Amino acid sequence: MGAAVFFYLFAGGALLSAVMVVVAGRIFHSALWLAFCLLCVAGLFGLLGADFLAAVQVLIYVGAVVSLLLFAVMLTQRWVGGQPQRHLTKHGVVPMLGSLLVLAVLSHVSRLGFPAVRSDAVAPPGPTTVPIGEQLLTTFVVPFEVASVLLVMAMVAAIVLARRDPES
Amino acid sequence: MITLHHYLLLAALLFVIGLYGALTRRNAIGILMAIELMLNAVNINLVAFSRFLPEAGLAGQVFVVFVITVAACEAAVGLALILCIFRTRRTVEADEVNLLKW
Repeated sequence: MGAAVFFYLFAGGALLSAVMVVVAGRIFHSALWLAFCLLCVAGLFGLLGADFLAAVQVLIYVGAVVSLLLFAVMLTQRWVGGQPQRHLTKHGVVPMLGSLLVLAVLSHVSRLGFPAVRSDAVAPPGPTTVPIGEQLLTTFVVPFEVASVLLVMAMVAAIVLARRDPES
Repeated sequence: MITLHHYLLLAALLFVIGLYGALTRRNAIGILMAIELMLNAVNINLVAFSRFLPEAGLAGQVFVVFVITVAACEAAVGLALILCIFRTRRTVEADEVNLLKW
């Protein structure tokens, strides 16, 4: 019962703050709502028994990505607070497509063949950090190495792109 | 009681909200934020599958680690590009960057 209460709490928080990210007037407020949304998702990961991923979500998303976004917002605002955000005007088709997608999921989610497993029917997996580390260095060692090369490439690219041109 | 379907529906809703933001935001940083929302929706799906279908093992959670890695790379390079655009064009509005538009 307690798990259900927490699920609806985190899910409601995530959905509400996701809506606020998209509709917030100022981009700075969007970034703060995004941090709240990512924290709620970290709570959901915790509910699902993914303790390692919950910690990673808080450390990398809330700690690093959101602060990076806030830096970019502050560097690109022309004055403090910024101007209220405008949205594209002709977007009536987007909500329509979106609601169609949600309706499709709603009507088919019970018919897709995924068993409606209740969360109390499966034992929580216990601490996942050690098994994830073992899998990363055995089954998934090639993707792991590729990901590290990708990270280095992205860091070098970000530095080169964001650096001021010395000639100018 | 909470089932797999609850998580699938939540992830679908989050994905659609992110899609709406990515398609309608004019600020390029806002578009990046909406993309992060969509990636998070996918992550919720992967973790929920690995929790409720235990015969699949922990592969779903390992996938989430890779998705988070790629998302961090994407944010770093994307924001560097946005800073570049702002330096030369003095704007981050996606529809005002129309230099290549015929």
